[in-house]
Amino acid sequence: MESAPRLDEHARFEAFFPGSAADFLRLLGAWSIPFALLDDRGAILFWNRGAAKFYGRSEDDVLGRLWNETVSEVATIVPDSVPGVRTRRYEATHKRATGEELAVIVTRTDLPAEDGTTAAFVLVTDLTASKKLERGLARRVAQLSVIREIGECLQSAMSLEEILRTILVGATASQGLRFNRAFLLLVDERRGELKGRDAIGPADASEAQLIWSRLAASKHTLRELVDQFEPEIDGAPSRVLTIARQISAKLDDERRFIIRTLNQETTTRIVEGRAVGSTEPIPDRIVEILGVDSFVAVPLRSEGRPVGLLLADNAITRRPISDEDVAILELLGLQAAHAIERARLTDELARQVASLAAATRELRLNQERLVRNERLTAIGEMAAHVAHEIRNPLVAIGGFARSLLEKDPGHEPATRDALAIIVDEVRRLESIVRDVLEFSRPTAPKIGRVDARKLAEEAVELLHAELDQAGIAVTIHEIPGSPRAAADRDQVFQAVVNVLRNCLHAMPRGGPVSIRVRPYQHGVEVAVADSGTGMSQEVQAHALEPFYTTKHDGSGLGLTIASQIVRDHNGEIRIESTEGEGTTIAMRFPAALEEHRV
Amino acid sequence: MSKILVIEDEKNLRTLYKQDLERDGFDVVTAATAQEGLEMLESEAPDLVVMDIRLPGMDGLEAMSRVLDRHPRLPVVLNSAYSSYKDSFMSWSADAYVVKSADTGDLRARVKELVTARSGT
Repeated sequence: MESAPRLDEHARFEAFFPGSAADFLRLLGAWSIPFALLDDRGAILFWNRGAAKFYGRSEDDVLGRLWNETVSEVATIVPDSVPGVRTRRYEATHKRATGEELAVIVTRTDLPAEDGTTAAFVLVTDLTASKKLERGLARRVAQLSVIREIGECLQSAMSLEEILRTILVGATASQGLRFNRAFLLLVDERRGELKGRDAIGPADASEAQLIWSRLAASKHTLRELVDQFEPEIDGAPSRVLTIARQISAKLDDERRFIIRTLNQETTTRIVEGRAVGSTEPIPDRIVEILGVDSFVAVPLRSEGRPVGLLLADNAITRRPISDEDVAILELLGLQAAHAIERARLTDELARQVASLAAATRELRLNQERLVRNERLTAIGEMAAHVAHEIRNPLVAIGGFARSLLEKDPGHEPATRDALAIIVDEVRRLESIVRDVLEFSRPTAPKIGRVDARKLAEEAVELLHAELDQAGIAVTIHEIPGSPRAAADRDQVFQAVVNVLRNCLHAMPRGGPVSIRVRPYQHGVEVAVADSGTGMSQEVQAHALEPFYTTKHDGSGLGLTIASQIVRDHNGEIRIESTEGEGTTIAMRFPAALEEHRV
Repeated sequence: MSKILVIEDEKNLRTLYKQDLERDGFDVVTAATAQEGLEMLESEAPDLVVMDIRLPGMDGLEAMSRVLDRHPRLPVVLNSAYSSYKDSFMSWSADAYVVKSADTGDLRARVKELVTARSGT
C-alpha cells in the first residue's frame, strides 16, 4: 500500500523528465544540499538525501505531500517577481520534523512541461548557521560599543573613585557586561599588598531581584548608572563591599592565588574550583571569601606593572561564564588598568607639583625675609642709636615746658601758647622715637594662643579717646569659627594699634571703621577697613617701607612695624585701597592648635 | 614729708624730676650713678627710689637688686627709655615700671600711689 503512491509519483516524475534527465536527478539525489522537485500543485515529486537530513524527514514521508505544508514555509523576504524570469530567490523560515525553526534561502525555478503544466525545482540554502553568526556578531558589536562607552566614561572620570565605580558598573550593568558581581583589588605599593578596594553586586537572590527589576524598569545610560551609584546602603557598606575589603595579600606571597594571578599576564577562569586549562590547584581562601567556585580573575597591568585584579562572577544566576564573557572582561580590564594608572600618576603629579610649588614659595619667602632682615637690621641699629640719643633731651625739653605751664599759670597768653606748642611737638617727637625703638626691637615673638577679637577690642579701648575725638566709630565683627592665632599677644596688639593709628590719619573727617576677624585658610585674618582718603597705587606700593610717610606727624614706621610683626609670625599682610573710598589692611596669622577639651 | 631718691645719670632729667616731685610735696634727693645712689640709700634713708635702668658703671637692674637686698620693703620705681625691659625677669621685682616721657604725670602718679600705700601700712 505504501509503495503505491510512490510508483505513481515515479511515473509522474518520469513523465516530466524523460531518460537522461531522470538519471541526472538521481545524481542530485545523493547531493548534500537540500533539494526538491514539485509538481504543478506544489506536491513533492523528488526529495534528495540532503533535504531528508536537513528537515529530518525521509523521502517516503514527504513524497506526494504539499511542499509548503511539509516544510511549514513562511516566506520572510520575497522580492517582486519579474516577468519572464523563471528563477526566484527568497528568504523564508522552515521547520524541521522536530519543530526547530530554520532560516533558509529558497531558490525556486519553474519548469514548464510540454503538457502546459509547470513543475518547480527547489534548492534550499541553510541560513541558520549564518543567522547565528550574525546574531553573535551583533552581540559582539553591542559589547564593543559598551566597552567604548565605558572607555569614554573612564576618560572623563576625574578621580580614582569614579574610575573604579565606572569599571564595576560596566562589568555588572545589563547595559554592560552583565556579570552578577564584580570586585576590584588594587596594588598598594607603599604597603606592599594587594587589597580589595571596591565591589558591586547584590548580596543575595532577593536583593538581586529587587535591584535588577528596578534597573530594568528605568532606562539609564551607563554614565547615569555610574553617577547614581552609591557604594553604601543607609550608611553601611554593602555586603559585596565588605567581602571585597576582606581580600588582601602581601605582594610577595606567591602562595596566594590572587598574587599569582596578578603577576601573570593572562586571565584565569575558575570553574567549580579549578582553573580552566591548567593544573592549577583549587584556589585558596578566595573561593571561601567570595562564596562561589566559578569566577574570572583578570590581572590589570599597565606598562608591564601590576596595577590590580578584577574579579567577576555570576554568584546569583549561576550562569556559566562563556569564552566571550571572558574576552570582553579582558577588554574592560585593559582599559581599567590604564585608567587606574593614569589616575595614580595624575595624583602623584599633582602632589609633587604642589610640594614643589610650596618649596619654591618657602624659598622665595625666606630669601625675601633674609634681604629684608639685613636691610632692616642696619636701618634699625642706626635709628635706635639716634632715637636713644635724642630721647633723654626730649624728656628734658618737654618736661620743663610742662613744668613751666603747671608751676606758673600766670604767664602771658603768648608764652602759654609757645609752651603748649613745645609740649605738643615734644609729644609728637616722642611717639616717633617710640616707634623707632619698637621697630628696632630685636625680640622674637613669644607664641601663645591669641583671641584676635579680644585683642581688637582692647586696641580700640586704648585709642578710645583719640578715635572719639576724630569722630571715628569702630565696629568689630567676628565670623563664627575663627580660630585663635598662634601669636605673641603684645606684638599682635601693637600691630593692630598701629593699623588703627593709620586709620586715624587717613580719616581727618571721621567716619566708620570696621574690624573683621575671620578664618582664613589655616589661620585667622584681622582686617581693618577704614572709610578714609585711601591710597594711590604709588603710596600702596611703599606703604610698608620704613620711614615712608605721607603724614605731617608720622614716623613712617607704624605700618612697617605692623608688617614686620605679621611676617615674624609667618603671616601675611595685605593692603587694598581705593583713593577717596578707603583702605583695608588685612593681617593673617597662623592658627593655634585646638586646645584639648576635658 | 616722704623722701624720694632719684638715681638718674642725665643732669637735666635729675633737675626735672626733682622739681616736679618737689612740687608734689616730696623731699627729693638725687644721685648721678648707681654707686652714689647706694651710698645715699644709707645716708638719706629715702621712702622710695626712682631709678633709671641704664646707669653708668652699674646696670640699673643690678643696682636695684642690691637696694632690695638691703631694704626689701623699699618701693622701687624703674624709669626707663625702653619698654623692652618691661618683660625682663628682674624688673618684675620693681613695684612700678614707667617709660620715660616728657609727660611726668605717669611717674608722679605711681610715686604718689606707692608712698601712700607705704605710709598706710
